[in-house]
Amino acid sequence: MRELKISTSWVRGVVGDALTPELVVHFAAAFGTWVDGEPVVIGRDTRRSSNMLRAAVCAGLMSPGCEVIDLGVCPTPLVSFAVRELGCAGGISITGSHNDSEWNALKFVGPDGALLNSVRGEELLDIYHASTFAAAPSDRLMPVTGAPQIQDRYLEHLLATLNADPIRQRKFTVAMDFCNGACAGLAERFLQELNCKLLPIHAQPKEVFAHPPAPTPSNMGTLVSEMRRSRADLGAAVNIDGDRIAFVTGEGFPLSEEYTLPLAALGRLARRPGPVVTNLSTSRMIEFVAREYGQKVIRTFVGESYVMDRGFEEGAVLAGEGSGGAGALPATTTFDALLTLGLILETLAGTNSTLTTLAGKLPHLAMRKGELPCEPDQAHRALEALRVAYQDRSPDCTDGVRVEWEDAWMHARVSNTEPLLRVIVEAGGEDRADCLFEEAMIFARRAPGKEKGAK
Amino acid sequence: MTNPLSLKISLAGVRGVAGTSLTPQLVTSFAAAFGTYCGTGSIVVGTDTRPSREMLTHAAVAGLLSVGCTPVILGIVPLPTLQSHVRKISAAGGICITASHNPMEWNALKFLGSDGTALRANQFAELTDLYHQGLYPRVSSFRIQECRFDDSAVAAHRETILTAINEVAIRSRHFKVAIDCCNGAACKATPEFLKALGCQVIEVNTDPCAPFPRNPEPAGRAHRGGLHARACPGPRAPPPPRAGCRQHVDEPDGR
Repeated sequence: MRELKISTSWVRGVVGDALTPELVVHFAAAFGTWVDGEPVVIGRDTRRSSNMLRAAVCAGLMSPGCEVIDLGVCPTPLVSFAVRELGCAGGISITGSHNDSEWNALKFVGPDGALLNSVRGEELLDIYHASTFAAAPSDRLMPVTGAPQIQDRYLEHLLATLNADPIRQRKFTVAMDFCNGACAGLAERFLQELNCKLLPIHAQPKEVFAHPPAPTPSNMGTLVSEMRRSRADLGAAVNIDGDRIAFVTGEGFPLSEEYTLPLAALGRLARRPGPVVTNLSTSRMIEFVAREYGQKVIRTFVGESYVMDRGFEEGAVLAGEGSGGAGALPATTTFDALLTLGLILETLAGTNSTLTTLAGKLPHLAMRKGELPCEPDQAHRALEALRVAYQDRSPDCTDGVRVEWEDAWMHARVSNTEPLLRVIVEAGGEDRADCLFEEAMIFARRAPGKEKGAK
Repeated sequence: MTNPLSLKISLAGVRGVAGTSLTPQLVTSFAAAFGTYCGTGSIVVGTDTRPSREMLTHAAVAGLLSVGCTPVILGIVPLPTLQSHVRKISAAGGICITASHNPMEWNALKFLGSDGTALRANQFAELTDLYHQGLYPRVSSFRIQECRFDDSAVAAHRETILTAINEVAIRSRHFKVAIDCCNGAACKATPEFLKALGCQVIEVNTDPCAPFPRNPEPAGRAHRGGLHARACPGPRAPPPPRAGCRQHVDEPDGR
């Protein structure tokens, strides 16, 4: 099977037959046409295939006359920052992000530094599908250049967003697992500026990543052992392009990626009151924190571009998802793992507490996440079956089917990245979560046509 | 508006107006087809001085990497230097990105076999068949190679030539040579070569960053005026070449 997924803010696929350099040249030429030949920032992650895709992106962008400002190996939030700082027309981050080594993707950044929203993304896709790209005359082609000072300016920006002095006084020790990704160099400098000691794990680029890159407790084995051995103050795991992060306590207890957003909110809302935006699939812990500070939580579609877009619309101070991605608005226009780490260090320093005590302030909720393999034509039948089954609870059908109870919620939606139906349940107790989850899975499996399609 | 029929695929290469008919997509596909044709291994890539060189190099490199080849990038080099380098490093083949005597806005891919010579008719037919079938055996992420950059080709080529000619005899004559490189690929290599032979060199149009000052075609007298004026200043112009005042005219690809 040729695994390729195209959405309005990215093109993602398995490198080889699906994500070919021709497809990437086409998309880059479409993007260059969309920005009218204005300068574009690019960056890439540490994957071997990223070098090949970089060549294809350069060729495609140069053709409509774009100057390509290549930041080399760098996290996606730096590409976003550079677009804003240098006043560029857009950016392309070449990264498979949280996907495994054999995958790769292009993430498209608009002139505001955010991933393309659905309106902009549809324009890009229309240009791509029409296959008529601008071509600058030979004597107007621009070279590939760099932006040597941009890392320094980005670090200055991060430090200016944070209250850095109390963090510096605490002299934290932070163990960090980079999964051989693009974030390592920048994180080292960032923590140095904050007077923290870094214990790096998997900090060198590698062909095959040391573990799957999504920052979830199941991928935190090495980090947990390191925490138990070193007794660092904080453990953190980031994904390949530095937009998702999750934490391990000083005692070596891994916190699920669902904790990232509410932990960041604990300090952020205290210092800067305002609404929080998240998606329909994220834990209710965030509502608990927001209520403490008298703020509201707004929920929207799943996906960074929807969440950040809505965040700016609502004047939010924080936006994030249960995947471990979070961003403090308006300081950043994408999810930013380093800034999120900074927010948490700031809270630890400001309240003179440990991560264990911070996490202890959050309610203990039980979550179940499951998936049902679905051919593309079956997923929507399964969703319809769920909608009918929960009709008396008036389900929210904004993005899939979401049902609420006093003490629980269930959200089922079609995956953006795989042929799956994702089902998430959260409840006040373990038994209740098990029960609601099993119930939802039974309803989804009973969808008409499912048996016919199954082998 | 460019003539959409300006693409020309023939034994002389895949030629067109860069960006409009010779698009980066086409170049990526042809490079992938050529990499497939050569089997995995090193493929030497060099260019002339045309402004589309960087864009098309990126496009060719992407196609070569996707089928598991190792691109060896020489930068701006004369075509014979690239040919010589294919043999020297035992590469599987070479791609020269040059439209030779065509105007500035054109460009082309010239494909060289492992012996450094241009593909013969039957070989080129196989390559175009591969291109038209469009199914290139892409390698998985882990088998993608790294690009290599090699700036030793010009010096290596010079040494090869110097050992093949009677260097001492040439040196003893202290020739004075005027050379018009048309701001092409031989801008650096040819004056260096002449200096290595003890010649006094009068350089005309040797700025690789400047546009072509004339029609790059060296045949015909009309555009040799500048060279005559520099080489043989005098009241009567253009005079015929005289002994001790040798001329040489290069095409942009340095043949």
